[in-house]
Amino acid sequence: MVRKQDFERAGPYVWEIPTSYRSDMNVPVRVFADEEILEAAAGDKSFDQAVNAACLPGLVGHVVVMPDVHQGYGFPIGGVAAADASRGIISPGAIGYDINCGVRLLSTSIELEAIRPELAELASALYAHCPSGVGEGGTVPLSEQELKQVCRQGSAWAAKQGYGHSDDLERTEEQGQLQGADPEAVSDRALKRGRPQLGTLGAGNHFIEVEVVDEIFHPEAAGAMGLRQGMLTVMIHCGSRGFGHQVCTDYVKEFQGAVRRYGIELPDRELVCAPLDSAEGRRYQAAMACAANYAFANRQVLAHHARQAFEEVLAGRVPDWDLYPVYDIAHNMGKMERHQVDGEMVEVCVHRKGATRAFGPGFAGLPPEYRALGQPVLVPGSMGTASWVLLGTEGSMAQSFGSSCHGAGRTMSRTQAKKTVRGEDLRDALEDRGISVRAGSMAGLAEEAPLAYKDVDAVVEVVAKAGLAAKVARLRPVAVIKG
Amino acid sequence: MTTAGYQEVEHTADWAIRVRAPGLSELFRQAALGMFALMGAEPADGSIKWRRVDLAADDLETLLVDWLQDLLFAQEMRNRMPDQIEIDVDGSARLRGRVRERPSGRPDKPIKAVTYHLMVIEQTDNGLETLVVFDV
Repeated sequence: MVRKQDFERAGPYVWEIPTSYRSDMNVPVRVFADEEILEAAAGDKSFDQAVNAACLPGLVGHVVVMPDVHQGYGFPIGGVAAADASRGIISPGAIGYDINCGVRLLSTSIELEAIRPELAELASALYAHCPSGVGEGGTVPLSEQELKQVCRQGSAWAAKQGYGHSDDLERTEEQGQLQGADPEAVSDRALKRGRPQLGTLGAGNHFIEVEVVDEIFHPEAAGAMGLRQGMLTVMIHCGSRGFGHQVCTDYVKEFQGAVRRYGIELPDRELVCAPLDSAEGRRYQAAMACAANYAFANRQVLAHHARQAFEEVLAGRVPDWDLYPVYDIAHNMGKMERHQVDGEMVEVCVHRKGATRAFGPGFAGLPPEYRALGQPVLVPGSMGTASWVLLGTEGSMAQSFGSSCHGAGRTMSRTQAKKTVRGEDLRDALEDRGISVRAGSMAGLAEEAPLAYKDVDAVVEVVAKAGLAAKVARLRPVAVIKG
Repeated sequence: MTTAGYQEVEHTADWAIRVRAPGLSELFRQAALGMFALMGAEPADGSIKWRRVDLAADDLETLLVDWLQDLLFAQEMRNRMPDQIEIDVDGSARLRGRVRERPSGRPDKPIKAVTYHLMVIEQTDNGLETLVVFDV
């Protein structure tokens, strides 16, 4: 097991495990953390999993580990690895089962204090309008043909059907449509799972939150994003549902044979992979893009339903009840990008699992109002604590393949969390603090208790001080909706 | 743990069970029971039917993943859960048999997927054992 003494200090907030640590590592591991976070993370298998990830063929630079890291089931959550496009691999397990699990943030012109008496009703309306999908279907049942259109078009399909506005797409990563999607690369079982679930939140750590802008750190960026102190925001955290889970399941299984065919030896079967430049690798990329687009469409539909809830409760009570897009990001994805490695621009497949793209100023794929500032990075905290809006920086491009953290990161098992706190007590404590809670499962609520997570403020402090992202605004929850 | 059974194992973000049984067929049966116990799906009223299962894989671990995924699919798509499991698993990674299924209520905690992480079906002094880690 990796211990603190195995690290070499590479900067005030950068720690490196060199390739000399283990003979099968192809690149070193770089961890962004302060000393307290590093020591805590060494208590589970996070760093051993990062070392295993460093054994993937064709990696360049280093494996990056974010301060919200925790152990996963192969690749660490909070991990980034970049594989050379011509000689590297793509690994479904290094992207995750919940392909394009991500976050959408919407702003409003609604002051919290103006609608505080309606907050409970608003929470109930959001809970009613946004199905979790556990034991029930979604609001947009699809034919197989329609699902294939969703696979190809992503958010654009949803907008064409009347779910949201077309300007939502400009403020979505990849404009809500990853190129290269091919539904023929997706199994029948995945299509069956995807058809009834569009427009559903899911369970576990997925949620919708109503928040208030608590503090602004970057007035110019906050202004461009429509974030104003004291005004409400809505955050949606969910992914590609059973559709994405099945795509990953199918290709993790298929690649068990691929690694044998290509003579790839790996320390964990969940890291199985195929060369990017292979039939199998291209097929997985095409299927992954389908799942990514499904998730973009899913958040597009849920945002529409959130708007319906706001209209139902607040129309006529406030001058403007509408929700406006800030940005929509992915934190489980594989993307073909160009990055500088050892002084040269190289095309790579950046695997981010529990990590967010955080491109700096000048990126052409950003909408004009963000281009000079950098990409918004959305970091949800644990339930009842803060969430953050950050900006990507040139520092992230130089140090982490344009990546930043994705959340608070778990520190406690779900079992231990349920032993420590009762869901009903947690709900009551949050309500006592003025946070309205609507949840489908009290056991599920207990598992997501704040005490099971790291301090998101400390995580954000590390990425800010390390230069990976800049603080824009801190958001405080006032309503939490969970499946 | 008794001769055949399952036990939850701590995992930071996901769930895991350690499964033990005298032989392969019982190991696979206990893994299924353990998975549904973790999910907290309760039986509901409705028709009870037998369903035949016939799976083959390159190795036993892949077969176990396929078996559990098959049951997850039935739960998610048809709200069905196993009521009785009669299966035969042999060393060539073939599973044949039948599952009596009944309606299930909403699972307390849905499972996204069965992973291969640390899954090694091995012979120990207490019989066959394996760890199964689930993504939730």
